[in-house]
Amino acid sequence: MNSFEIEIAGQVIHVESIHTRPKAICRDFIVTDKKPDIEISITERDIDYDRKEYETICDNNDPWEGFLEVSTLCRLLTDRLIEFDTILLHGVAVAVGHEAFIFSAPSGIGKTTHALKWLKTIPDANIVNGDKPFLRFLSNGTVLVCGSPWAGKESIYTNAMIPLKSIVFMERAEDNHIEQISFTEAFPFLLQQVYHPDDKKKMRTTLGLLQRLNQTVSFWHFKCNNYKDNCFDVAYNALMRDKK
Amino acid sequence: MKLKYEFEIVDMGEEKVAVPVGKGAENLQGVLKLNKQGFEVFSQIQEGKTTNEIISSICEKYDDDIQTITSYVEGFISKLIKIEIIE
Repeated sequence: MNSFEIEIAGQVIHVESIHTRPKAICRDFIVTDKKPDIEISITERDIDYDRKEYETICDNNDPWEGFLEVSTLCRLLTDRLIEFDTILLHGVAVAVGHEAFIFSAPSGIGKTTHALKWLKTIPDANIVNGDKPFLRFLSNGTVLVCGSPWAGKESIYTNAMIPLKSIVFMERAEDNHIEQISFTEAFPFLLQQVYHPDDKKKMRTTLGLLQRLNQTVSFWHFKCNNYKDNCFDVAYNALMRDKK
Repeated sequence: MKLKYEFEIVDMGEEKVAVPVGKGAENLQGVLKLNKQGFEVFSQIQEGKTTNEIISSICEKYDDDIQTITSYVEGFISKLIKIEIIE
């Protein structure tokens, strides 16, 4: 059994894992001498739950156990963080100065490719998380985008918490076009990309938190062709003009 | 008449959205957008009322004729059966 503490989305989590891989993956989030807010002890049964999911998706009967346990830790942690008004949204979170933008879409649409254009073009831009940023809802209405080690195949992340300004839902298209959408229009996209806990009470909390996004965050629908030269300009110019 | 899933109603202002929650909810793709009338019927289905009970309840509440209300309620329920939300 491996024991360690990590701090993610402002909460200290005591983790007991079976394999060493989770601790290695979480290396940039490890803390010491802090009182844990959450205790997670991963069991073989927990891993079995994710093994079933993994086999369904990948048709692979022999997934690497340590890798699988990393996914299990993410799931268990995401479930627990809901108690602390924190949810997981699938997407790439890019920070520009003191503001963060999330590019969200199903896998394979080009979120990372687009985000890397921001990094290439804007000197103070960085990726807070390349796949699974946490959103922490503060009582004053601010929503913080929080880094985590679960950051997709490129594994790009920053251990930081940055106020969220906008969520951009991407779709592949021939030409680049972006427009602001209402919360009502954004809601089905949000539901597709947010983590759905099995527990009904936690799902209700998740829905309540999603509604709070409407107070401070703007939503955009981005028809995107990353191969065209104006791709970055179209998105950047619109998002920077946004005053919400 | 029973819903296959539990739903949480999210208020979007002019319309409401019913989101499936709990285990098995992932089998249902998408959400149900409900206008005022749809919400009225859906809420009563959630309470476990029969088609006739729903029609009676809405007739008591609104001035529309019974044929219009019956047609609306039965049409709404048919749609839910078609998308396999009602057992």
